[in-house]
Amino acid sequence: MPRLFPDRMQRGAPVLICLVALLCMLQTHAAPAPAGPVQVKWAELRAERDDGTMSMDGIVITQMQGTLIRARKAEGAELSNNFDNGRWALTGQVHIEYEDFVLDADAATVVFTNRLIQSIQVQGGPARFSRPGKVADRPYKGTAQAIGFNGAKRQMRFTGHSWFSYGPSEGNSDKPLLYDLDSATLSSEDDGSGSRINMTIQGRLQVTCSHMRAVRGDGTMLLEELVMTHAEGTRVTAGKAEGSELSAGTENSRWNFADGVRVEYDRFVMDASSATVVFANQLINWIDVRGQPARFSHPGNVSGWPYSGTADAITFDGLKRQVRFPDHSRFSYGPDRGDSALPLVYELDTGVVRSEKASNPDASISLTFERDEQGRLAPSRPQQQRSKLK
Amino acid sequence: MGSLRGVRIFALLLLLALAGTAAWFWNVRQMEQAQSATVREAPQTAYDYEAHEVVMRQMDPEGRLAFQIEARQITQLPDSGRVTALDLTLYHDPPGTAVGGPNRWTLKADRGELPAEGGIVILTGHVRARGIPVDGRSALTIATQSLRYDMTTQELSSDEVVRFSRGDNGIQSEGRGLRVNVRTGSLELGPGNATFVP
Repeated sequence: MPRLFPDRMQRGAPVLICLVALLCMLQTHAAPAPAGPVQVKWAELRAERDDGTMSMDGIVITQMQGTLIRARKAEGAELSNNFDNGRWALTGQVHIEYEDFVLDADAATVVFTNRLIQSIQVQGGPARFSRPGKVADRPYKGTAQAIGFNGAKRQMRFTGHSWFSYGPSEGNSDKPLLYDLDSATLSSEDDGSGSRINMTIQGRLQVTCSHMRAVRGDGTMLLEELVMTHAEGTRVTAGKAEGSELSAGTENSRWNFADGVRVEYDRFVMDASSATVVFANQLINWIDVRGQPARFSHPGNVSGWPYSGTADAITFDGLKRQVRFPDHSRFSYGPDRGDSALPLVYELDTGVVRSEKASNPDASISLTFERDEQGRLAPSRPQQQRSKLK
Repeated sequence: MGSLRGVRIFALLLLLALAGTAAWFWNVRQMEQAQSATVREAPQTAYDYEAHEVVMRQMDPEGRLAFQIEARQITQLPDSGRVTALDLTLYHDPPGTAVGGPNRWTLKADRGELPAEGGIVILTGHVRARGIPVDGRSALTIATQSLRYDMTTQELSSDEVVRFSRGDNGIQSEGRGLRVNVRTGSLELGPGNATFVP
């Protein structure tokens, strides 16, 4: 069969692929485009001393790439090379547009180095930050008593009492918050205080957490030491949580919890070392908990008997309203206890427990019934339940 | 035939008459214009003195050089005693500085007017001023179309559009309305902007 490419080309293909990949990487990590000259306009300029300082009223600083800085008053210092370098103390209706974010504040300090903004510090009551975001429907808006921009790290820092709105999330914090411009990721800074971050996700989920590791523009977030509550009575506590498939305008999301997880939903409680919870249209659609073992308890509906079970993995199907225990679970139901090598299904609405076919044909269920002094089954047991258990 | 010749002679005489009248009118008009120009120029030519390619040094009461002007032409008018200089360069050493020292100010302009009394110079047309303020470190360069230099108060001012820069690699700015104290180097500039064009 004739070869499509000559041998020489085939030998060179890996090199070519590597070169293309290298070029792509270089493109990805390309240095920012050279900044244009710093243009300054004013209504009144005063320079009292020949020491690189200036005072201006009605200042407007612009650059070709879209930089716009406006303020009623400005005190410039360390100015040189036609404003390529300088430190500006701005006051009065300060408005800053840089790259693709906007800051509005009562006062600000802006430092230029070689035509690039090295840092911005704004103060206000509160100062306001906004950014359209890399994903068009996930703009970031934030307010804080003080907001700082670190040009080297390309990071915004919100301090004092701050508020944020990012895609489907909105919340407030007394901990410092960091927003990374390149990754569009919001996180909290550990300040040693016990204060918690409060947020509302998709308008219905209320979350308080001690640390926000990452809230990303792609609809994912990592939280720590959180308590999540829902209007329908859902409550989840966990050491760690990872949310995904979060988007504004819907009420669907997927959460992976870890470290001391407790899920409370529809009167039942699950305790586990990890859990996956899927929300769909404000309701929990699916829960999958894992533990050594994971625990489930329900106060009971028909009989009034509480049901509790333990297994390595327990799942809840929100549509069928069933809790499923796989092979090898232990349970107690009212006064009775049992060990099952068969999968068990507990129906929340009827209180019925039934076994499913096991992969092992020799699997069985061992039951211990509570009996009265005469050796009879407990009288309060429902007839239906008795027949099933016999 | 005889009547045709008569018509031609009459037409010729008529043309000659018109030409003569036109020549007389043109001559009278030229004389009137010459007389008018003479009347207009009379005050300007009535100088106290006129000098060409001149260097003028003005001393202060202490005998120290107040300023020096190098000009293509200097005239003094008799009515006000005002001195007018054309294509001039003015050198001024602020009080307390060495004559010809680093703080000397050099101002160039198409035209300069110096009143008989006081130390105020009005410069117009392609004005360039450069100097290092007494309390400053770097040279201040000013370019405008009109500049007022009060050598008594040591203040430069202009109501026109002014371009100024401070230092060789300093700030280059443009604004309307400037006030500079050449001793302290403090300045005020009206609405304007600073744009660096490499």
